[in-house]
Amino acid sequence: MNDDRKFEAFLRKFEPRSPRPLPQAETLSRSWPRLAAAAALILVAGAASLWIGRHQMRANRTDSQPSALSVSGVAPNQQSMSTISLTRAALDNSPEFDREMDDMARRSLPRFDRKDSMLRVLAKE
Amino acid sequence: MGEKAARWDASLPEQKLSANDVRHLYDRHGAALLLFARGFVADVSAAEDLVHVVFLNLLRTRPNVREAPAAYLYRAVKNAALNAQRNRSREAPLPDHEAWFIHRRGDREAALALQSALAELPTEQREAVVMRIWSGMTLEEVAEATSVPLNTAASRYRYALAKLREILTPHAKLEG
Repeated sequence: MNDDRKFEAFLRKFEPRSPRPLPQAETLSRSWPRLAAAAALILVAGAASLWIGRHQMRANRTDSQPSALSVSGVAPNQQSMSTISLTRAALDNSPEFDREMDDMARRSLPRFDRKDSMLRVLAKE
Repeated sequence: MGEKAARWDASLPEQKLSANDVRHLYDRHGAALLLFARGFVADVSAAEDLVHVVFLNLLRTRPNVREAPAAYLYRAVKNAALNAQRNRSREAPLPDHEAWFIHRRGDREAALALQSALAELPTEQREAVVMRIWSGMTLEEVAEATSVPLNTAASRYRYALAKLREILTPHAKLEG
C-alpha cells in the first residue's frame, strides 16, 4: 500500500503537456458587452445622421421658400433697389434690361435644364 | 454484482456550470484530458481539437450536470474521441512526435518510457490511471465516469499501476 503511494507520487512528477488555450467562443461569450456597446454606438450614429439629414432637408425647404416668393414678386429689397434703373433700362430698351431679367429668372425660377427636373418630365409627357 | 454503476446519480442536485467554472475545469483537467484523448487519436492536434470541442460546447450550452464535472468531461471527451475514430478509420494515422509528458526534473527517457507504457495499457486501465493520477479523481469518480462499479474501477487501476511499475521501476529507483 505504501509502495503504491510512493509509485503514485513518482507518476505525478510527470506532467502531461497542456493543451493550447481555448479559442474564440469563450472570448466571444465574455465580449458580448463590447459587442452590445458597439451595436448601440452604431444605432446612435445612425439615428444622429438621420436626424441631421432631416434637419438639413427642412432647412433647405425653408431656404427655397423665399425664392418661390420671389417668383411671385415678393423680393422687396432687390426690387426697390433696382426699380428705377430697371424702369429706365426698360424705357431705353437697353440690352441691360434683358440681361437683368434673365438673371432674375435664373435666380428665382426653378431650374428646368436638369435631367431630373420636374418641368422637363412634365414637358416630355 | 451487488454494486450499482454510479453513472448517473439522481440524488445529486443538478448543477449548471458557469463560464468561470468551465475555465477552472479547463485549467484543472485540460492537460489530463488531452493525455486521455491522445490514447484514442493519433496526433496531438486532433486530440487538442477534441478537448476544445468538448469545452466550447460546454461554454455554449451550459448543460445541467448531475455528476462530478470531471466525470462528465471524461465521458464527453471519450465519446468525441470514439466518434472521431469512427470517422477517421479510413485515414492513415499521423505519427505523433510530440511527447506526452514533461518530467519535472527533465528526465526525458523516463517520460518516454511512461508514454509507451501508458500507450500499451488497455483503454479501460489507461483511463483509470489517467483520471486518478493526473486529474486527481477519487476511485468513486473514476467509476462514475467510466460507468462501472467501484470494485471494477479499483481493480482496473491496480492492474494499471502494476504494469506501469514493472516498466518504470528502473527509472523510479534511479530517482530514489
